[in-house]
Amino acid sequence: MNATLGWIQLALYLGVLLLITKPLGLYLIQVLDARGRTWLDPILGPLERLTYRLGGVDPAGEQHWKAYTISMLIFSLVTMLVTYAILRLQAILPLQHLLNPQGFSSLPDHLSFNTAASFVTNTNWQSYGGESTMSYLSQMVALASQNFFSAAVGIAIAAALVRGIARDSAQTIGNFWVDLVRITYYLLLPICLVYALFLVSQGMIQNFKPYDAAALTEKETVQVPRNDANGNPVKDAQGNPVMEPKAVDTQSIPEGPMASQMAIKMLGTNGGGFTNANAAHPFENPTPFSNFIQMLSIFAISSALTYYLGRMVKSPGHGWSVWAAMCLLFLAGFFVCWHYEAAGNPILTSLGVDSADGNMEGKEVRFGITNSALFATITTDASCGAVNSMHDSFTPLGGLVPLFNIELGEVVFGGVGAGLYGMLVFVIVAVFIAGLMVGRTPEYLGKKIQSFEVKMSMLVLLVLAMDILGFTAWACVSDWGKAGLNNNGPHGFSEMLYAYSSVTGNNGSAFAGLTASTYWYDTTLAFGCLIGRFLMIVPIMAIAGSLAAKKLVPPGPGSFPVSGATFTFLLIGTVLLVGALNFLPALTLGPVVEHFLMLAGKLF
Amino acid sequence: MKEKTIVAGVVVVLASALVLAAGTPDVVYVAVSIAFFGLCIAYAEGCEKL
Repeated sequence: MNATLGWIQLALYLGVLLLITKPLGLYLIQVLDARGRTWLDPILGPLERLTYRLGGVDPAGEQHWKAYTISMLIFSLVTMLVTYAILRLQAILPLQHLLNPQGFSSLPDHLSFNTAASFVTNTNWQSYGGESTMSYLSQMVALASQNFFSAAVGIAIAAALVRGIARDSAQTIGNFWVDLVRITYYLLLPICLVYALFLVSQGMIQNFKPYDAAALTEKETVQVPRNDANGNPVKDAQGNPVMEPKAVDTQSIPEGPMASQMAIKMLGTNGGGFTNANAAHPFENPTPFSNFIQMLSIFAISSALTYYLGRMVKSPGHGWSVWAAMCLLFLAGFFVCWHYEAAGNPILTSLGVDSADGNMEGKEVRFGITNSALFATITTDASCGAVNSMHDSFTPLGGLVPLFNIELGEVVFGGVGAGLYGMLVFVIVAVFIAGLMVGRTPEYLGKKIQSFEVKMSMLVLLVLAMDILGFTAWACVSDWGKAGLNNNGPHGFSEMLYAYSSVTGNNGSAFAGLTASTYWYDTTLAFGCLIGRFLMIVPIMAIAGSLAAKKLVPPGPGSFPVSGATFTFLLIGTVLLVGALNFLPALTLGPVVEHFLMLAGKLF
Repeated sequence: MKEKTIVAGVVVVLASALVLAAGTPDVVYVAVSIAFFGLCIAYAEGCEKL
């Protein structure tokens, strides 16, 4: 794709995103109000009421922030344990011939734990290849349902925080169970139904057939690890796997219920692929149109939530200012990534590769440079984690962008709900800094920002930094950490840093190059997911409760304006400053030094 | 409430240690999951007190 087409596509993408923000935001206002009315009420209303009756939920009863949080934690724990059980019992669950036609065995304990923690937190880090590991039952019941639930939980938390900001001297911030049911029934399920049909129309598969086998026109021999009689890999005296040749004359073509899972994978910013190649696989992303819609759906709900924020706090300008800050950060990241990927690798250029081709390593030729850079930026701005190119193969500074996006807390539109509540933490910090600069009591939309809110915001930012840097440091100095590396030097470090950034940010994309399906990696990455999700949500909910209880003071001449260009740039500055202070030293050791070594002629 | 939180935290940690010492990996992972979410509830109590 030439640059002009790239610019046109970017303009089209932003234009359509802007176009759907208000209508979807208006719809969210109805969905996130327990008494809201939608055009789906005649169909879904009875189902909603039946669900409340079966669950013993009083839809009119609201919860204190702590009760709301505990409900969310208990729900997450139960669904995580159910997911774990399904994965561990995959090989003996009913209807094997229909729902596990490949006869996949049950997952090992550490991989089940990692996957359950990953999907309950909306991370969808995958230490497995989907098409060679998961039965159709596991894909549909364990993973796809978690995609719905974890997305709904994120949106519910954001809605609770917005209610906390908007309410005047209130003790409650909504009802978690009502939010969960309404978001799932009225928002995610209907859109995903239409979305899945669209994906099928583009050529995505949706069936329960066993895998097909295609005969290779050119037979080849590959090296595979040798296993002993128990199926365990044989290792030599140095601990390296012993390889043996294997003749390959057929190729397995995956089948399965893919479209139904891919719809929520993108809309819910989950990102876990049905296949290992994720959205680079022709079945998971069949056409340029499906690629465009998939990218759009990643940002759709998060973008609409900014409109929801503006309307709920009776300051539409504030919602649009937050949207503008997100949009500018998105554009900055995309331009850097696009520039370095289009420029290519100077070492390859010196060897005669046409520099006009850019860096095509690890990229699907159907998508090329622009769509790969755009997808990588979008998927890491949001907490999606789906990929249509391999981030490990990006140029060092091109690869820095996805990494830094995640480390900013994924607040650039961000994950569904998670992006907004993360950005609101930065808003509180920005308002606090502005208050300090001008010597006024910090105030946000008529609510005084006091030490409690600032302490909770700092806690959120500390959890982010400590989870990423702590686990990365541990892996760097551990034998188990270094054993997983396939690249040395700064690139190997980047792989480790990316892995723990990805799980902490609940992104789930991998830099690749890291053998992560080991006891240590699976377990530490699972804890990275859990800490990055729940230890951040709890203080955010505490902020929601605290703000809800405060008296709403009408804005006066001394109030800090939270809409307009000044606020937008202050917010951008705060996000970048916090991100830079926390992570630039680590980034310097990884992609930055790798860039300079590349210029000096050294690759890793 | 503070004492209750500390006691709950200690119980969770001790129970986890016991399971780690004696359990199968499945029991360990399930117990650790429950302990983590238990600690999150204690963490919420702690946040409120800050």
